[in-house]
Amino acid sequence: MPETTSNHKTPPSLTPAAFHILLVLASGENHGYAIMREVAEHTGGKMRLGPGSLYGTIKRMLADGWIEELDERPDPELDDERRRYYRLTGLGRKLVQAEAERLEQLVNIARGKKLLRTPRSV
Amino acid sequence: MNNFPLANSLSVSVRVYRALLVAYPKKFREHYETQMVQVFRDSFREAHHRNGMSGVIDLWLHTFADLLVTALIERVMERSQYMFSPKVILWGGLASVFGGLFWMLAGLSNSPAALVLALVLGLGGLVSLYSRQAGQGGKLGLAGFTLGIIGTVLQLAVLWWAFTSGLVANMKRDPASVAPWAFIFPLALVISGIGLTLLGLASWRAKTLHIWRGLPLGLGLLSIIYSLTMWLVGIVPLSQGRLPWDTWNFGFYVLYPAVQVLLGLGWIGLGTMLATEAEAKIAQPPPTAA
Repeated sequence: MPETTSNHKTPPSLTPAAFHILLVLASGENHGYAIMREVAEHTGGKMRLGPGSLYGTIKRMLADGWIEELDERPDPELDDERRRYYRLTGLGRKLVQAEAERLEQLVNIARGKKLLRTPRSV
Repeated sequence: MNNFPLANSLSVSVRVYRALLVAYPKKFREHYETQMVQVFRDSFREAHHRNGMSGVIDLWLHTFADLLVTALIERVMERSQYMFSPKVILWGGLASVFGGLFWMLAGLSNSPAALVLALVLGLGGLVSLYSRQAGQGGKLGLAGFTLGIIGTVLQLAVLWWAFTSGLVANMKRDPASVAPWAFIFPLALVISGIGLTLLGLASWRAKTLHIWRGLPLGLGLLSIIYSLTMWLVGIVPLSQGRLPWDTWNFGFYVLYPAVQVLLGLGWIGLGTMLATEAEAKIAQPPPTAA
């Protein structure tokens, strides 16, 4: 990979689509269609990635070294051989963690200003 | 609701979608066409299963909008990659050097043809500087580049229009009538000057140039000064019914050409730096694999 985001001095800002894809892949490797469905599920259908948005974002994340493509499919017998699977790299995991922490801080600020209810203890 | 037949509609839709993928750059298609068609096929099956015909229509509307936007993005990104190549920087830098020479010629001879050539070649300088930033100039760089191009193209359009519509010929007969139209030229100059200033600021922040980092910024500020000079020594006398060159005045005969000559020197300096750097990069042997 010629240039990765790790070379950047400041952490790059994630687009909403990239963040949601990283979030899906945080729970394990997955293929395009499953990523798309899970993103729609996470956002209550508000974010619908079309094939172009999905693979355009995947292309950029691959180039930046945030995700990588698996050489082998997890379960070839149960799956279509044309599918490609993707998983997080170490850098991708760090980025999604940092972004989640940033969002958590914002939520805490909003909660402190009584804009959100305090979550019920489980 | 699911009476709508799946097999035929799926096959036709997939064929149409595959054909539409030609909107994407070839390289992108080579990598992702199979996957995109697969995702579309899966989405189609699901949309049909859940909502029948209305689901399929909704999917098509969404997919088509997605295709239009993302194909455009991919095409622009592909162009940008080409734009950031050292060859573009080299040729743009050389254009800037020649543009600078024509700026000086325009200042010394007051020739409109030299001014037109300076502006056209200056576009190469803008492209070269923006390409040299290689995207590190961010939104500021992009905004500056866009304004620079818009301002320069507007200046060229105004010059073309002024000469072809007989405006310049009318100037001698009735200078005051020309003033409101002549006002557009310094306005276009201010736009390109602001653009170059922003591009220079982005360039300075991103440490684009190894030496004389502030030169593009200085050139941008000088362009704004140039537009103000043109306003004072050109448009103000015209609006008062006088031709700027009728009587000897310091502004028109000394200040205005001096600023043009300085602009020329600035473009030459910037172009030389950009071209030299790019040439060195092109001359470097490609890195060998470890």
